[in-house]
Amino acid sequence: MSRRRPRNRILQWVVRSGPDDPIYNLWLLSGPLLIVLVAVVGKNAVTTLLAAGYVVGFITHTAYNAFETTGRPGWIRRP
Amino acid sequence: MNTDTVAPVGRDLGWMLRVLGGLIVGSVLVPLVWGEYYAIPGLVVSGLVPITIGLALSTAFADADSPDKLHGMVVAAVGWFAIAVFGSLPFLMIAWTVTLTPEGLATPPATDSINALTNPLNALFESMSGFTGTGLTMVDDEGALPRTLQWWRSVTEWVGGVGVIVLTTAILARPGSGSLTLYESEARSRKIHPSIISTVRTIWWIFVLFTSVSILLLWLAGMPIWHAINHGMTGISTGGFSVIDGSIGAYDSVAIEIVLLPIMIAGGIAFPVHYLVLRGDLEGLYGDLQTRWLAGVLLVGSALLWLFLTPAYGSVAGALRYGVFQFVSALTATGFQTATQPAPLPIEAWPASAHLALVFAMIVGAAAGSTAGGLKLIRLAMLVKGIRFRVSYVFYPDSTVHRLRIDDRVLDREEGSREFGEAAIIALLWVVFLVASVFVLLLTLPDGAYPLEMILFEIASAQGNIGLSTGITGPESLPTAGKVAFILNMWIGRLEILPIVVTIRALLWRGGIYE
Repeated sequence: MSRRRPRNRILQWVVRSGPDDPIYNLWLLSGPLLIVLVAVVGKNAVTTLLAAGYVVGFITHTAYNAFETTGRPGWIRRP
Repeated sequence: MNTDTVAPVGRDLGWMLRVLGGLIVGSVLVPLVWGEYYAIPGLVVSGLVPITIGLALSTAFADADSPDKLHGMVVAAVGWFAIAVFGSLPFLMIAWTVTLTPEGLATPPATDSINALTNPLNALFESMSGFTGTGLTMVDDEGALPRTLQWWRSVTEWVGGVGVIVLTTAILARPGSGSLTLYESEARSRKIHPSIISTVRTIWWIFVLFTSVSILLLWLAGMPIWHAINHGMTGISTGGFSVIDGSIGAYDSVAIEIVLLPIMIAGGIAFPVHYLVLRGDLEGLYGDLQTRWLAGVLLVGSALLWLFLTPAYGSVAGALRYGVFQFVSALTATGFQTATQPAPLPIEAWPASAHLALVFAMIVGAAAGSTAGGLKLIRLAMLVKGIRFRVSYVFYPDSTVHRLRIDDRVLDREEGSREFGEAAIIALLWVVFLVASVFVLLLTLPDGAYPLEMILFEIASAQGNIGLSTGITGPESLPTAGKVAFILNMWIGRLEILPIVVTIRALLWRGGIYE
């Protein structure tokens, strides 16, 4: 139990704090892990591919998200 | 200040110190990983001091009332200074550990950079520069610092970056306050969440995601991973501290410079706008007045700087490369420098017209609600539109209904005048503090050592929380009075003046000096 609790807190924080998008949540959690992997393993084809995939994935998802969302979400408040 | 004010401020300050202490103690991981075991005792002691004081304060004032607008501003002003003071302890402790070489600790040889940090004023300067996201430094060679101190410098800027977003989007943005009015007029009331706590959470969320992307981008562009981690943190927070002597110019890599451009620009865009974009509202980006002005000023300013630099570089491509990077770095308040050795032309050798173009960028700054410094684009927009609004009075009869349009807000005559007045007051105070420091430097620097435009450049860099330097800032080159003035400039600039004025008034008036 004691080992699971902090992990849940991090997950809860990620889910509650972000823009309510599971893909971004995944990106947020995997980013620091990928950086640690790169720091430990160093530069090789796999880490380069993973890092490039991470960055390209982020940009692609953001662009897709932006162009796909038509109409203004109701939660945006205007004065 | 009376007890009604002291108690909430004391409690919140106590919590801030506890968090700071936790950050310092948590940084022990870095010397453990890098084998810099001699740094651990100094780091632990540096962390325990604020934790102890913070515990005492937060316990003593545990029953204090909820903070109001006044408390928020006083906490911001006093807290930022206190954080800088206690945040200087790791510099001092580790520098003294290396200098004194205690038995049993395998310390490295003391370098000039380490020796400089044994001076408490230099350590405070470094800490204030970090927490305000300025990036001016008392260290001659950042590469010669222990990894632990390189990390701590980056952490100060990263945490300070989040701090200033919270300050502008949550603490200053209170109902009825001028900052809210100003912020609303620009960001269209896009407070991320109704409460400060959820705002902080969301900002951290975005910040961590952007930092990860920045780090991996820099690594892919060719930076070693340790450098990428530190530059990613200081880039997205538009801080500008480096871990290598000569800043970004030391890499002499076009790829790294190109990758840093969007990172710096992202740091200069209001974070609520980033949140909108992540939620799929692209109009949040191009529909935001500050973002549009940022794009416009970046394009026009970079083109002008390119023009000014082309004769000096003797190369259109060279002037474009260094001009664009330095203008983006100045306007977004990052302070990364490429025009350093071994670049063909260091920044101090640039023509006066180029220096003044950068001074303009450093004074204006980027968007309110971002990590950038300076006056902020919303105030520039308000001043430009407000002047036009005031002048138009003359040409119309009194019965005419005057409206001031700022983005999608329409302000009547009274609202428009109030917001314009607030922007004008902040701009005026900004210039007053700038000029005061110019006098300090003119009085204390050796006669004729630096031309006036370089002095202006350095002070605008400090007060705008930028970090670009023409070489005046340094442990030996900057006189003690100049260091004190710069510390105050950085503090004043970061807090956008108003909270400091409010704190001084609270100290004088509520403290009973006038009673």
